[in-house]
Amino acid sequence: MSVLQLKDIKKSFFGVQVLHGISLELKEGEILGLVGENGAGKSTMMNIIGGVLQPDSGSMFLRGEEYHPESPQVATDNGISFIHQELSLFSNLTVAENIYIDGYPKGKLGMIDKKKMASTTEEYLKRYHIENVSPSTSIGQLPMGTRQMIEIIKALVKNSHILIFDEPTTSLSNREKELLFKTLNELREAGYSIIYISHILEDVLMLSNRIYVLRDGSIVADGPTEEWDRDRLIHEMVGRDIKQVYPTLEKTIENDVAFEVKDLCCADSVKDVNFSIRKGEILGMFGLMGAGRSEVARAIFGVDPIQGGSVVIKGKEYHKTTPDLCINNGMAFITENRREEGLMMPKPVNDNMAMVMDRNLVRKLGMIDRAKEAELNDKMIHAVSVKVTNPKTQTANSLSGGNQQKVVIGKWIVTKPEIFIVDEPTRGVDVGAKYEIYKLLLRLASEGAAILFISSEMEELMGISDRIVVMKDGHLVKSIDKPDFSSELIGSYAI
Amino acid sequence: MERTENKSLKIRVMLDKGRRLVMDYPIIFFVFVVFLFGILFVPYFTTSYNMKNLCLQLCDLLIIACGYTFIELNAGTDLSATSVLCVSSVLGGWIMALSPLAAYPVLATIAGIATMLLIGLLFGVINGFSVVRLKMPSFIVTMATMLVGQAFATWFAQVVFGKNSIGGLPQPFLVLGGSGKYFLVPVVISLVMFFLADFILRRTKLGRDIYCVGTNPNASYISGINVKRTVFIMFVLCGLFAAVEGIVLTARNMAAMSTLGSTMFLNIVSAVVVGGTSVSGGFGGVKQTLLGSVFIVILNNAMNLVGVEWQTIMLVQGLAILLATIIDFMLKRARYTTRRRLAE
Ligand SMILES: Nc1ncnc2c1ncn2[C@@H]1O[C@H](COP(=O)(O)OP(=O)(O)OP(=O)(O)O)[C@@H](O)[C@H]1O
Ligand SMILES: [Mg+2]
Repeated sequence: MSVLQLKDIKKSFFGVQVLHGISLELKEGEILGLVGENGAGKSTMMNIIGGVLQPDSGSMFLRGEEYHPESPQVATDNGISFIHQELSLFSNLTVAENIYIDGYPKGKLGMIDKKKMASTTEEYLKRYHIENVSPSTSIGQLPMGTRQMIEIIKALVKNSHILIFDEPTTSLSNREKELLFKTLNELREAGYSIIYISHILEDVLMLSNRIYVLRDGSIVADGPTEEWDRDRLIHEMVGRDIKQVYPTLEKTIENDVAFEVKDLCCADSVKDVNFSIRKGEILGMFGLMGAGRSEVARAIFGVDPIQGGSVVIKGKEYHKTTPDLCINNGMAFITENRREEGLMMPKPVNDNMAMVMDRNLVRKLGMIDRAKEAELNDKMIHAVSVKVTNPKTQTANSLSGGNQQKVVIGKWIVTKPEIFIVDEPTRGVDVGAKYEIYKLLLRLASEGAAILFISSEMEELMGISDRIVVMKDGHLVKSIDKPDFSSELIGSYAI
Repeated sequence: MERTENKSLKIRVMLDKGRRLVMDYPIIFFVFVVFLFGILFVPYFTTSYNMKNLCLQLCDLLIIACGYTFIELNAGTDLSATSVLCVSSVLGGWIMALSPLAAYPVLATIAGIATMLLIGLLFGVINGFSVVRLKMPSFIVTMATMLVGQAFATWFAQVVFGKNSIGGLPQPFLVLGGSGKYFLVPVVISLVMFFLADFILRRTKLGRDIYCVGTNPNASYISGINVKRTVFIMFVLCGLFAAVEGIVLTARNMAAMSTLGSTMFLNIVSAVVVGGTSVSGGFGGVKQTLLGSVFIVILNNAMNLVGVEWQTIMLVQGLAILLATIIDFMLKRARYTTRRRLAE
């Protein structure tokens, strides 16, 4: 029986049509996979179902009845829950408050039932093994992975019968992913209907009952999962075959150490981390959520304070760094939190691209060389193939999630970094673009850059790293060389 | 087929341009309306005397409002901007009229101007330092410096001048005020300051940094922008622009006054905010402020000529600010479009 039905939904933004007549059917007790390139229109479609956006034309039916969500509230009232691609938590509120943000439980006298909020939250936190977090922790202090789990819990607490997951696993490590998948399967057994969007095709193939492929705003193919395999999905998504997942590029690792971390302590929990990266080397860093990987990266780059130890950049030792100093030394850093720390969301793409490079374009009187700036902007938008109609005016928040990530990457690559720290650079990026990003990183390395590559996706780490270090509970526990790579081995040190 | 496609593309580009114009300068329409209102309904509005008057009033507001735009671009406050006016006025006046230097007009003028600029710098440095280093909210810091400044100016005038104001300023200095045939001097000064501010904001690295920091300080910091220095410079610039305003106004009044600018704060903020510089930072600029100043000045002037009481002027101005803030809010939503709506 179909629970939700879309008929010929169309949508355009400022004259650019994004959805060209989408029809789709969600059945009771199934997981529906939805895949497509960055900017294909997946999130737009889900936003329409969730009442965040209004369609230009077309109709929707919920259990056979016409359904017009004018606002997200209507969708919630109709039992539709939505895990957004871009986290929509309030960093100044607590975990419990965020989970209940759209409807606090009422107790006596209409007062907010704080006890119930805390106890239910506690229960969920325990069920999903989110340790060291209490219902009263404020969201702002939590790493991205935990925030994503909270976002998921927020949707589950509502007990809705239709759940939409827009790339829910981008910040999760395998363990959390497994927990989430187990929950999804349980929910399906219990008769819930789920739409699952992801760029990790293996997950979609493993989880879903049926898969729809969206390309440039049209559904180009659909069918039961048994009929799909990875290569065919990719073929339908991009319209051509992509055989290789990881590019191959001859590169040599030089003997000079470009960058070294000595006994680094930071964020109260990370202790005595030591590693070094040589020129031309890609060092992968693996660990579970909360292992302290991002914290290390942030301390190195001077975003958070170094509490002990030092970093050695091109032979010079520093006990305190700032982003300014690091950039002057040829470093670059892609943070995992692109919305708050990577981009100026309400500003045009070009302004975002120019943030870092402008420092190199200062001419007399402090003037910016605008011709050069425009030229580099164009070059970068091409190099990372951002899908944007007019980079001068289109704002970052109107780009699709994956394209936002490409802007962040472009903004840093333009300075040709020699030491590049990347924290989850392929988050939310489609297969084709992932390949391009790997290629960019490899090319930088082949030109002598040292790269620290942090990722929760073990596959990609093994695919492009020369060496992998594993972090656990704030300590660096193991360094593994390429010949010994295996997911069992790496996983065994992480857990 | 190709033709029509071309056409629709053109229309789209035009629509986009129109949309941007409204987004960037929501005030244009209102300026037009008050101006038309003045021409049609206000007696003596179009006389050359009044036009000249309007021009000078605009200069009086524009310089300091341009300075204030820097602060607003970072969503800050500088209540002390008007205190810079009175403190620099009394100290500059003292140097030029009462100190031993007064015997040498040119020298006195130079020393006076230098002192006044230094006062602006001092205010900027204190405000900026407190905000950046001591991490105090700009509202509190500048309220303190405003109070101290005003008290000092009053006290100094009482003790040293024996009254609120003092004349006898040197002739070369008075030229800056635009009396008689020197009408164009303050106009040129304010235009120079305006273009300077515009140049800084649009063409220089500093200007880029100001917009970046005003939009997203975290992302700016990680991108290697020196956020603290940028905020500090904003306060210094505001102080300096205010000092220039102090110079022009003192010369205009032909007297150093301890009450200089005491009623101006409302106009400054109105000009900046009504002009369209976002109260939450990151959007706007001095072009907007110019339009906002034109609007406020014409509004005040027209209502003065019609003869309404000051309460009514306040009322209208208050409503204009309210409207501007609402428009700003709506524009912000438009800028944030869909995705931001999720978080709100
Ligand atoms: N508010 C908006 N204004 C203008 N264009 C928009 C807006 N929202 C989305 N778009 C455009 O619509 C297209 C589809 O975006 P959408 O976010 O649905 O893609 P997506 O399939 O979710 O991609 P991703 O995998 O990167 O998340 C993109 O080209 C995007 O630039
Ligand atoms: Mg999306």
